[in-house]
Amino acid sequence: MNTGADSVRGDSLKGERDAFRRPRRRGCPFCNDGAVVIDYKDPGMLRYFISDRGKIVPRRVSGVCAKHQRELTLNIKRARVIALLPFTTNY
Amino acid sequence: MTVSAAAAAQPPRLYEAIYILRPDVSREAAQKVSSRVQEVVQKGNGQLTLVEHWGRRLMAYDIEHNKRGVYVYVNYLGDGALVAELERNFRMLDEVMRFQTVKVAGDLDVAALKDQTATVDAYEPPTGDEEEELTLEQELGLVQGPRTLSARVMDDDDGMMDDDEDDE
Repeated sequence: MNTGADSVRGDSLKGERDAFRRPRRRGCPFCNDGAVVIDYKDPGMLRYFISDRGKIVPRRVSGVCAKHQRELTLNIKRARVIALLPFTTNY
Repeated sequence: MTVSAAAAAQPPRLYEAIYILRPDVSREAAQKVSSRVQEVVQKGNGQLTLVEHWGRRLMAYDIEHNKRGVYVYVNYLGDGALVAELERNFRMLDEVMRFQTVKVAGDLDVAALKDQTATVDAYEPPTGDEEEELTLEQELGLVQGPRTLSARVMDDDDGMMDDDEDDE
């Protein structure tokens, strides 16, 4: 059982750590800005959603909503077929 | 209504195709491919609505040992049989390294598109001195452009990240 002093100290440390680690919640970039269209012919935009190795960034990381992630995935795969985006950087 | 009557009653759909020609393609050969596309679309009761030459550009990976390719983007109205026929022709043409056809999604004003008729203009191959210099990183395919949003997001969310991102 913690003493009162310990628990206060522990809570404040825990609070600081949580504040530091808490990810900033941004909304889906496509829902927020209706002007942005997902198009496989625009590799410059799609590049924001692939990792340095060419992998599709998961939506838990990028914050994209499920609907737009499905669309994004389809368009990234189409862009890969016509060599506008890489399948991998390690070939 | 018979099946064929139902098929005939279908309005034409808009498709977009991108094909990549070999980087060393001559003007005549590029013209030959363009005219073949036009011919096939016309024979299939379709209509070319747009032809765009994107020119010679660096591809994200090598295709048939070529780093660059000549991109041509076409839009056409037609049906599924026309798509199959056009793709069969792309496969036969040696100049075409890669092609992809996509049905354009969404509601379209087909009547307005019917008024558009694209003319196939000639591809102008670049002269030798137009070649831009590549850095070593670009040659090796390491350059991903400016630091990406995804990379920044990953840094921010390190508390949530597991060891590897493909563990799901």
